[in-house]
Amino acid sequence: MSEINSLLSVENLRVSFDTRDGATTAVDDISFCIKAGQTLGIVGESGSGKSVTCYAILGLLQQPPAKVEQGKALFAGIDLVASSEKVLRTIRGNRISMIFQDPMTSLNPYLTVGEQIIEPLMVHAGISRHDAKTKAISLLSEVGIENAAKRFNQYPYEYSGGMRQRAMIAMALITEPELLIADEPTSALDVSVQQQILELIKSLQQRLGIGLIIISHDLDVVRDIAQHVVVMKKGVAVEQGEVDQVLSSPAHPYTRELINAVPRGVKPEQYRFAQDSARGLLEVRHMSISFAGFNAVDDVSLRLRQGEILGIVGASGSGKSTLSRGIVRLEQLDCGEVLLEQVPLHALGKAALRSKRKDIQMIFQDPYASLNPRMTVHDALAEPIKLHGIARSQEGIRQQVVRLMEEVDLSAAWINKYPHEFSGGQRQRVAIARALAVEPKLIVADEPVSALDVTVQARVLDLLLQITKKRGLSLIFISHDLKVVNYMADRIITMRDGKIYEV
Amino acid sequence: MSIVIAPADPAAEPQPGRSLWKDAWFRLKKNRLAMFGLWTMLLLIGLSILTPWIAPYGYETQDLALGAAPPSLSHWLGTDTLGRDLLTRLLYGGRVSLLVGFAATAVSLVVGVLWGTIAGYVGGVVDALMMRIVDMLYALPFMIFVILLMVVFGQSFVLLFLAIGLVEWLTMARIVRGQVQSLSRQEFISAAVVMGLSDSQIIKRHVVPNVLGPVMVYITLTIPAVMLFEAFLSFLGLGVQPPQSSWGVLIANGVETMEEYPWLLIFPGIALSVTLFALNFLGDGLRDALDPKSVEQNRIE
Repeated sequence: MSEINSLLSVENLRVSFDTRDGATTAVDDISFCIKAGQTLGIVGESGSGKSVTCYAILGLLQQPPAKVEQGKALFAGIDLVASSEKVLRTIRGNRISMIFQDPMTSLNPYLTVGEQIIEPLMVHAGISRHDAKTKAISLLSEVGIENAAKRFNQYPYEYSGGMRQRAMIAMALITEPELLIADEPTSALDVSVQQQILELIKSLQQRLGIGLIIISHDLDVVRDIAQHVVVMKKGVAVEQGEVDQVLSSPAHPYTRELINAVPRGVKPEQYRFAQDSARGLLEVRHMSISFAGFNAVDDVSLRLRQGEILGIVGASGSGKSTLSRGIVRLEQLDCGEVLLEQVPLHALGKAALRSKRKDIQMIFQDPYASLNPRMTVHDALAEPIKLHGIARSQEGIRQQVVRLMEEVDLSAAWINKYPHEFSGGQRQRVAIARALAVEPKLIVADEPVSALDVTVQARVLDLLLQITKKRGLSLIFISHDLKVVNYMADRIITMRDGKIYEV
Repeated sequence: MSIVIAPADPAAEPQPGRSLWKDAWFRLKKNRLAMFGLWTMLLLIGLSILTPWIAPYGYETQDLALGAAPPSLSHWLGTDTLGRDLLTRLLYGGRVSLLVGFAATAVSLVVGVLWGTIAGYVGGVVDALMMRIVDMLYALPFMIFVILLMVVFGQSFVLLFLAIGLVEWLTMARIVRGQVQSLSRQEFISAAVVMGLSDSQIIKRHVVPNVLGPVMVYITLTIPAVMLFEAFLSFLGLGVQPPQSSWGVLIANGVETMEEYPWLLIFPGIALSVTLFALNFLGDGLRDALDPKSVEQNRIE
């Protein structure tokens, strides 16, 4: 696989981790190479070893527990895998730079952005502070930050998410690296910003003629930007080659699965909503919610019928989460009404509201945060069952829990497991089961799949469709991803600046 | 992180639900250091309870002729300057120290956790009000407060650990409030609200179990601090009075005669250190046992 004039060539790389069950192989015999001026995409789900590969190349893995068992990573004649930390330090952040996923956490909040951008330059090139600053400011405006001279002296909290990622890109490029590694550079960003950042990376890469490795779980990102692609699954490169070739006629079943997992078009006929028979279930009238004078939700009215799936799309900050929290009364309304089967939820007293909560449940975005880490699946599911008297005897409750677990395709043998023992998709299934436990009439799902991998996402979406159909539930499905909402919803409304627009 | 999930065995009968507490006990039993700590503490507590029957001498029995004698067969740990048996005095001192340590910590635990949880969970005006009260008590010169208590109510044992406990809870309340505040922003608390749980149920089932980790650690720090504090109060004449004794008092006296009679410092020092070690092991073990995520480490052992 090694080629002359390649910028970086990785040969037979194998990385393992020491765990309590012995060594597990995280990266298994991976080879690829990238030439100057080219872009390579590495695609795979979380846990597929795509990040580990790049961390291993840069010597960023903590060893132990990680261990590079075999392989080479040749960069300009130097084998990075065999190099000492001292050699690596002269390369890392200098000739090879990296952009991380989350611009919120990869910038130091206590230093100005400018300070952080010039740091690598002063460390590696040893140029004066003044020159570094001049260069940083011109680079900042080049990555699309307006008023760069002023922005240079601001702190990360004064930047938006997209701007932080632009600043990260500036930081990565300031030492004029030959190779840039971008690890999920857009997945923590808003959809509306993602495309801009990708375009920016692409144009900079072409203009500077550097090599680019882009790691992503999103095939569309890779399709957009890369010429070559490596598809990884469980540490193995199942397929690699030209992007057009691989994506148009995938040879490996896993690649096909990845491609098919991206929701396209609308849901299958049998899940569609029968308009006529349905009666009204929920009505929201002129709801407004504000925080310290900021109108998060501004005079929103909507209706939902029984068995209907209503999609709400909007960028972050558009007020869609606040709307959903207002509907389930996690937020107090400034004004307006929420009627569930003509019962005014907004006007109920505490006790009355608690018993009415049975009818309206919520599924949250992050299945890592929405389950109590100290409760087993059994306890988490038994709690609502006991509370609303759906079953009373210990045995009855247990049977009900098992039934719920089966409904969401979880093995009943896992009944005593804690949330951390599950994968993200399985946790979200537990959260769905918990919402179903009280036999609600309406479920509000706030970004229920955006924290999940694409293939897992597809399965959870189908599960949600099946369950709503089978139980005759209504669903309010909130997402930033238009493709997903298009697939799921019978009717879609968009939100912007706290207001809704029917589509 | 790779989490290995056991493949579903279709033949496996679904087991009955287990609670966090049963799980915690199960895990604690597997942690040898923690169990060592637990047994040591039980032993010390047992000895303290049985002291009047097992102590070789009376705690005020003097043998002035003997003076400060090094350890011997008749006095295993030696005697102090008044010829009193050190082992006996250690045993009796342990009763005071352990009682003060545990009782004062229990007061601070109950008051502090309740106060902090309510303030952190309810938030808003209630939180501000409750925490300002804590701030005010912090600002109060503590010694004056204790002396005042002693003067008004007279010197008593109960008052001693009440006084210490009433001061120690302030820090506990602050720690717990911070934890609870960050916890209540977590989605699983919102999920519990949506489920229809009442505030007290949420606090009991979702909030408190999740703050126990830091609370455990703080407790293991508080107990020894309280024991030393008692020594300080006794030194000022506000705690236990001679001829009664406590480990803190014994250590303080031992320091004065350290060069001539080192055993008077060494043995009380060992008693206190062993207690602290045992408490630390136990505290760490409890923290891990109450955290389901730590189950993996225990399995290795």
